[in-house]
Amino acid sequence: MCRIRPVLGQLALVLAVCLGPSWAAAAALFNAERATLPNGLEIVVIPNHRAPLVAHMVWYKVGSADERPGKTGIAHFLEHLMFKGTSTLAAGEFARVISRNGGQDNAFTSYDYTGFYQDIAADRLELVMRLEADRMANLKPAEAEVRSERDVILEERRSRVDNSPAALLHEEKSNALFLNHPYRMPVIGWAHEMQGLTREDALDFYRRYYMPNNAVLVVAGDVTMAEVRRLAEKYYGVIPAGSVPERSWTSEPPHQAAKRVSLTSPLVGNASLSRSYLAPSYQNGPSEHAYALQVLAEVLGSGPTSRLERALVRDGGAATRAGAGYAPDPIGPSTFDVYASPREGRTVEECEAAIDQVLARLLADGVEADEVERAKLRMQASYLYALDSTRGPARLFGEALVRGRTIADIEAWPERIAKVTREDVERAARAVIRLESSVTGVLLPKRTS
Amino acid sequence: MSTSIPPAGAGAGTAPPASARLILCLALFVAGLVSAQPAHAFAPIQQIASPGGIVAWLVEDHSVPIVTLEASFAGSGSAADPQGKEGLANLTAELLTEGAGPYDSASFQTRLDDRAISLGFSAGAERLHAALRTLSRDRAIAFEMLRFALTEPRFDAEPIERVRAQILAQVQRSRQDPRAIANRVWYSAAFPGHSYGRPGRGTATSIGRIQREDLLGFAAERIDRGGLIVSVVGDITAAELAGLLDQTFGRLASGAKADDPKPAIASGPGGIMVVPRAIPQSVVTFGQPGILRSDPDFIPAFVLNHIIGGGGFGARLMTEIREKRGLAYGANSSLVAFRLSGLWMGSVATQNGRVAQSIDLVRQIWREVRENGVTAEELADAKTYLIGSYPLRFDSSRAIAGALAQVQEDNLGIDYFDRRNALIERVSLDDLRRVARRLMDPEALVFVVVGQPSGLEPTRPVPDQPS
Repeated sequence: MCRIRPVLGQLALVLAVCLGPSWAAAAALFNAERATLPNGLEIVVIPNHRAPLVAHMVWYKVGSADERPGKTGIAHFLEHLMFKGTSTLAAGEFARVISRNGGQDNAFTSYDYTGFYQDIAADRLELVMRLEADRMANLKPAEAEVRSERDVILEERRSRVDNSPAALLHEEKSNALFLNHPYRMPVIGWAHEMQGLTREDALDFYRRYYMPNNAVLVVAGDVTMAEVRRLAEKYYGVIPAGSVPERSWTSEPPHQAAKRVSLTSPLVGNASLSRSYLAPSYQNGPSEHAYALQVLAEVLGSGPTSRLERALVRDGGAATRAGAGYAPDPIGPSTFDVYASPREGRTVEECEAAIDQVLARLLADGVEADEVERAKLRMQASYLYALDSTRGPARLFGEALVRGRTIADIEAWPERIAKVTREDVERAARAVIRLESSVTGVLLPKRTS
Repeated sequence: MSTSIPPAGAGAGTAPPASARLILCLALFVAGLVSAQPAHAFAPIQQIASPGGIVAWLVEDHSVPIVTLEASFAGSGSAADPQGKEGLANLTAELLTEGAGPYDSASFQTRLDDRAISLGFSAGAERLHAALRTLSRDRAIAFEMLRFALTEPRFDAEPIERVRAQILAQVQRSRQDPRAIANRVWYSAAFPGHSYGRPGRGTATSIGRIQREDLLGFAAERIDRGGLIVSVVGDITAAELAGLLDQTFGRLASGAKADDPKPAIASGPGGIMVVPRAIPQSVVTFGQPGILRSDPDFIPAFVLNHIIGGGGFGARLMTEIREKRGLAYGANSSLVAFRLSGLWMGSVATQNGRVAQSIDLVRQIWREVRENGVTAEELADAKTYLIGSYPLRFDSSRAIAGALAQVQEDNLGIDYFDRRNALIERVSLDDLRRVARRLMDPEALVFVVVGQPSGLEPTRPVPDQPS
């Protein structure tokens, strides 16, 4: 169980969607409703009656960025241990009961949050709420289980990171970019620290952070708020509120020097280059640029007619792929990324020069009204696709609310994108595309004969 | 390859409904076994025949303004690639959206992108697949673009060379990817000389040989109406779809492809192959001969696989390898059903010093189940899960369209969604015992290990891989 999402929220891309000119009329596209229990548990319900299914999720406002020095990986380790038994449920029984009831479940950990979910027939909602509430209050993993699960997370790290030069480089890039913010540590943890994590470390973390007033409950699907609220009061409502430690993350000082990290390995198939510029998010830094940066990423590096695609990939360009990306959602700082991979016979240096040329032109000459308008319409049209599932919206709302954003923020997304002007995009580009607050990662193959 | 696009009113044409002849309209329900729910949780499937005789399965759903289509063409997958031109079907698939009819690559993709229309093709082993998704307001344009791609692909020089370079890069990357290496070696050892043993994407050499004439020939000869399968889900009526079917597919040749390769049985001695790579964790692909989808024992085998390694937590591989011993993050198995061959495949990844132990455990599980079968509790749990979770598979239009396509390809009948849970419910412990005896053979298991395993002796040489 337990997937990890070491990448800063991909959500923005997934979600950021919406409608066109008539967005305002469709503001309640998802019809999400919100409530709060007396013990502080926040509840979001997204009704969708297409099929008799529900997606049930509990999100905790704690992630790897909350770990203490020397204990990297504890947030993710605890996420695994949540499946290892409570005072009344044996290890592994949680997943087994869900499965016997035709449900699927899993969990995930990020810098900002930890989440648990079950997808199941709507008439099984009470069962999953009872089980999830139980482990919110009564976790009790046996020592032997904790030890073997620690081997599992180390294998997970080998699978995801140690066996992959690209993932190793990504870790080093994050560590180089963030001078002081906890995002510099990998979500899964450093192997040598993971090896030392104990049952007591996990339970200490659990007792500090897992409580109803530090969680968001999201239920999407064939349900109503009245029903969810009734069940939530019955199962979660009896868990007392606790005192939640304040999140006081260290923050970034001004950056003064461009950084560069590179990794050469026989395991690399294609050379590639990726540069991340320190960027604001909805909640960090000059957040007034957060919407314009999404449009900038679209104009610069998304789709067949984007600037990077035209300059680097098409018509005999230096690269086989090139693009840009930006996620506005982290609580802490975000990054604005550009990347390319050279064609056979071409080099990383040529790609980098071409990217620099595209960026220099953008900063000097700005963007065109037409490309901004087309990018916005494209983003808005894509938004509607988010309606086409039960799980997608549950994830969308959970990820936003656990970070302290609101239902209104999500519903207003299309409108806010629609308001972005050419000048906004240019201002955002000038604020963020600065080499001295960037890290460039280069991945190179080592060819053995 | 997919693109998307835009503008609210940009020529979002009119949907041209023609008169439609509804052959069948089946309302499907079935009592789910877990509770009284429909087995599949989506609206009735209609089988539609257009005036021109194109047949499609349709699930109408007007609750979201989206239309999703899946289509596929028989005899047009990578298994049909000519010897020496491996990768032809794949390259063709990638190029169909790179310019067609009056549109060159950039204008074709812009037209899609500006409307957030997603249109892409992919080559499976047996079939070429088309996937289309559009907001319903743009469906006339979306279907028109699909028609151009199918009937008038341009194969201009620039996209050919660009996409060829992109595929060569993918091939290069997969040559260093441990899991891809393990799979490639496994299949080449299991199917020497058969198309299933060749890399579907081709090799640097074979991709380099493909000429524009090959692409034109492939499109003209292989994309036809013989064996065409169409599945549509979403905001469109049967009458509207009927008209679009003729416009989109009506000009394709009726199609009667001759070649029908012989059944391919993965055979040869079981054993262990090792591909040395300097990585801390050994990646293992294993497998043995399996079962065809058309075999009467397929459903019992499917249930048995769920218990062995298809079910995640609770399945034997996960319990023995991960839960009890912490040897791996994941361990799983699955039935792979090609048209002419069935396989029972699995994978696990364990640090180099302990991978021999994981392999022993896989063999032990195989031996144990072959000799003693599984328990009544395991069977009961598998049934409640497989039946109860069936509706979860249909959580989006794409997922439903994919399921309709699969059932058509497997020739299971339009009522399959209603029958499926009863087929599972009927499986007995005796069925599982019989199927385990018939299929599971620990001596036939072939393991390919990529890494630096310690205490593990290879028993078979790794076959040469074409470059």
